[in-house]
Amino acid sequence: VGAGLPRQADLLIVIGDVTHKAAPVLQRLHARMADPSYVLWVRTQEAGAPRPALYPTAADVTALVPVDVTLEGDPPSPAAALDALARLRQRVRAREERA
Amino acid sequence: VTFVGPDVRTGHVVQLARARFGGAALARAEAHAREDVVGVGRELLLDLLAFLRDDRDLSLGLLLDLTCVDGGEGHEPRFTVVYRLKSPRLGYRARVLVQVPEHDAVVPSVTPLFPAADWYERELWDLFGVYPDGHPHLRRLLLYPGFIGHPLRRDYPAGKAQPLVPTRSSAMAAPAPSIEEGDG
Repeated sequence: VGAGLPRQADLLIVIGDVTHKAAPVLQRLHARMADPSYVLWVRTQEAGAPRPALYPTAADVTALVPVDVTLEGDPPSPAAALDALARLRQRVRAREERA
Repeated sequence: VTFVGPDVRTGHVVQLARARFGGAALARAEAHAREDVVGVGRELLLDLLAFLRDDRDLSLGLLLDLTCVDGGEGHEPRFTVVYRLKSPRLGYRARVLVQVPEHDAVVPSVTPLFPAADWYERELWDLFGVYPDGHPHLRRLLLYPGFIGHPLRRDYPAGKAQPLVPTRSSAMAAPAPSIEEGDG
């Protein structure tokens, strides 16, 4: 089922870097999502590799929106992508149990 | 369509520009295979580009690229603005260089001659702080209102960011915003 509006969406997938220019837009988009919502960040870099701070881009998306699951790898392997989905399901289940 | 072999036209642009403007007017003139280099003062830039574009034997009608080199603080003149032209008809290129001092970082806009220069000149202004005088609608291209400085200048600190929104401190420790749950 396609979600037409941020309000109807369950998952926000952020792929790669976010520029400082786009950061307010990303935060506004995330604020419009109805709870419960989740954020998956595809950090297009190997795990642990430092992200340089540069003038155009925010070094860390977790500092902009609450990221539930980070998918790493440059590019991410299929196994890592499946693993990220599994971790996301764990997050969803844990949250449903709490409710 | 005439295809010109790799070396046939070496020096062609330099030769015709010298004949037209006189050798003394050219700050720099180098013949390279299929890409001559001509340096001029700012006052001659528009005349030279119009000549390179319109002369039947040159036909350098395509602006491939427009960029800038920052020599760094203390290097005078500090900036070199680079115009790369191509002749699709005759099959060779030319590079035109203009030197610009830091205290008067202005070049005449070439957008009226080459519409393709429009966004390049906006980028030139945004990232290098070299002002294209006469640009029809100069605005930032890439950065955002409130950004201070020109990040591709050598004295702009490499890691200096100017975020628009406050970042969430200790992002990993902070819990997700706790709006009420349980509408599942």
